[in-house]
Amino acid sequence: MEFRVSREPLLKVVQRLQPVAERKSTLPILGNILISAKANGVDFYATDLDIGYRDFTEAEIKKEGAITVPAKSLHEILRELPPGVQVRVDEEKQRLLLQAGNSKFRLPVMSPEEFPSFPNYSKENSLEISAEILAEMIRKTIFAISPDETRYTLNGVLLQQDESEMRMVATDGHRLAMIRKKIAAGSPRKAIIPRKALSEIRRLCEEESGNLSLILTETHLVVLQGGVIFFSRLIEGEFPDYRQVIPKECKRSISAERKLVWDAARRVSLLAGERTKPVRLEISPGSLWMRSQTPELGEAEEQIPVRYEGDEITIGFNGRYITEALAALDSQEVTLELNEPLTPGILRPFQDEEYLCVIMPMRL
Amino acid sequence: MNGSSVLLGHERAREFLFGALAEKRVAQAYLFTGPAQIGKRLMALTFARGILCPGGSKVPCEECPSCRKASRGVHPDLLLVEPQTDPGRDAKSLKIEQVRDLQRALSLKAHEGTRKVAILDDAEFLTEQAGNALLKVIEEPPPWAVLSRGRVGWALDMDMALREKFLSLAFLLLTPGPAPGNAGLQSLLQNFGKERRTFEEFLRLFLLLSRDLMVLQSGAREEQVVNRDKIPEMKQINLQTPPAALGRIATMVSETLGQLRANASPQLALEALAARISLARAGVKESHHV
Repeated sequence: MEFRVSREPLLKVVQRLQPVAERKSTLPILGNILISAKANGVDFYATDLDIGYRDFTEAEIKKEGAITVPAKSLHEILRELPPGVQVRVDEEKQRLLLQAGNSKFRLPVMSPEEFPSFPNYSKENSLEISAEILAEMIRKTIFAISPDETRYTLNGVLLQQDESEMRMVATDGHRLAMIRKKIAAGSPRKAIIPRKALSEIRRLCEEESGNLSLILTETHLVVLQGGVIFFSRLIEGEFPDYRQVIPKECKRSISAERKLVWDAARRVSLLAGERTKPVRLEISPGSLWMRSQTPELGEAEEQIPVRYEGDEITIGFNGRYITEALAALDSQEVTLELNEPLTPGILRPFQDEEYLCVIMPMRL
Repeated sequence: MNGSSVLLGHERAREFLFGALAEKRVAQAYLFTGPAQIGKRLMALTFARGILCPGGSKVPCEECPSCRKASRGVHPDLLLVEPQTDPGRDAKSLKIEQVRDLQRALSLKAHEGTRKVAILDDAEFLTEQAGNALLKVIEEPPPWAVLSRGRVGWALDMDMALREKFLSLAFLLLTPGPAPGNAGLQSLLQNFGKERRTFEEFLRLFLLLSRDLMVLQSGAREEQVVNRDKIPEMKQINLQTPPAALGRIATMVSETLGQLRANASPQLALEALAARISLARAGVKESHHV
């Protein structure tokens, strides 16, 4: 393998891959980057077996071939090289020879055969989605993912697509967030995407506007963004049937300005105990009182104006669930839909069917 | 390294495992038991390569990327967990963190192919918490967990609990020549009697044989027999044994297992068992337990 390329595109690619390769791992080869020189350029691939990136840069290819080298050293060398310098990459007696200007580096290599394969995917079943919408869907669900590793099917977001819409759902058993977007998605498919992958995809979405392609295989989610290919392994098992958690209809509907409720909920939560943060909502026509009370911390209360016509109701929620849901919303007004004090409530943007958060109440 | 040649002497286990693989009936979890250094791990690794190999007629083909990665220990879907030496001490243990890491790794779908295999070596070094965590991992199927262990160890109730969830495969010390008959009691004792654990393994295997004998006798399909390689011999034994005796023999074997756990001398227990079995096969009914 032998090629020439200028430092900048090489550094850009290695910079993206290096954090993936750097993570601690039981397989030493995962600390390496797989470099494959092909006719029109060079492919770079790194993975920690949870997620992986492949990126490409054009280069002057002298000899095709593949090799793996430690990502950390390669990244540090490229960072220290002077800007604009031409880098010559060559193989020499079981080493990778890297020359730039008057500098020479020889790096240990490992056989590309031992490197994990890149998941097979076909572009035929890809789903085109705008980066902006995908980022929004992730932002509005990721916070509800369960951190409990023993319930691993909840450690990610359910991605469900059918003929007319794409849906993302996350739940930790106490609250659930669901967002739907009208996107022609083709054949129905579903998969559970791990949290780590969602954070990476969100970063990809923020990098460049325009469209991304999502491809679900039997075992992986593959995302194409420009020349970058990202993949994540999917979570095993079945996501629980979330539809039965969502109340079919709600008797009471309370609307208010989102910022007012959010600010008040954050303030009142301050004195609402350490773990479950119980906050009491007392709702009567035109008014919402939020109260918290913990013997060792003290008491807090705040009143905000709401639009509500029904009878009085008092209900308890974990304050953190309310503030996190309100933080994810971006509408001017929100609606809280309730049935009884011990049945789940729904928080959603005012007159918006696209997004909702179901929150289980607390016994006060 | 050619896996099959090293597995000489364990044809029964090999046939059992690869038979299940060929018929797509691989169990959720296997427990390999037997003395140390007789090929349990090698068998587990060969079986794992077989499960992971995408090849056609002969698995493992030992040639495809999957087999090559697995034999070099770099297959992403083959997870091998071994006891770690505790820092500052000589003792080894399989810790709960290792089981949790395994659980985490198994919670994701396979990377190279569509299947995953986990091998837990020297499972007698499982700490109590790790064992409990393992029970849960094995219950919830991220598919394919193949576990092996050197000796049967730690708390008895844990051992029993794990055994309930596994398809158990006992690996015996290799004995040259044909298996000893009733006359070979002395050599049997030499082989199995010295170490209580090995003797227990032998009895468990014997129990499995009794089960097969009863399966055959009941006229069930031969696929349901575990020791399929011994079907002709077993048919012969069945011809010479009164039908009612088989159940009684199985009871005797499990009673002997109980006696061993209650610290009976292996030699005496085995002699008593041999005598009772001869009587049972001769059709003599016992008036009281020995």
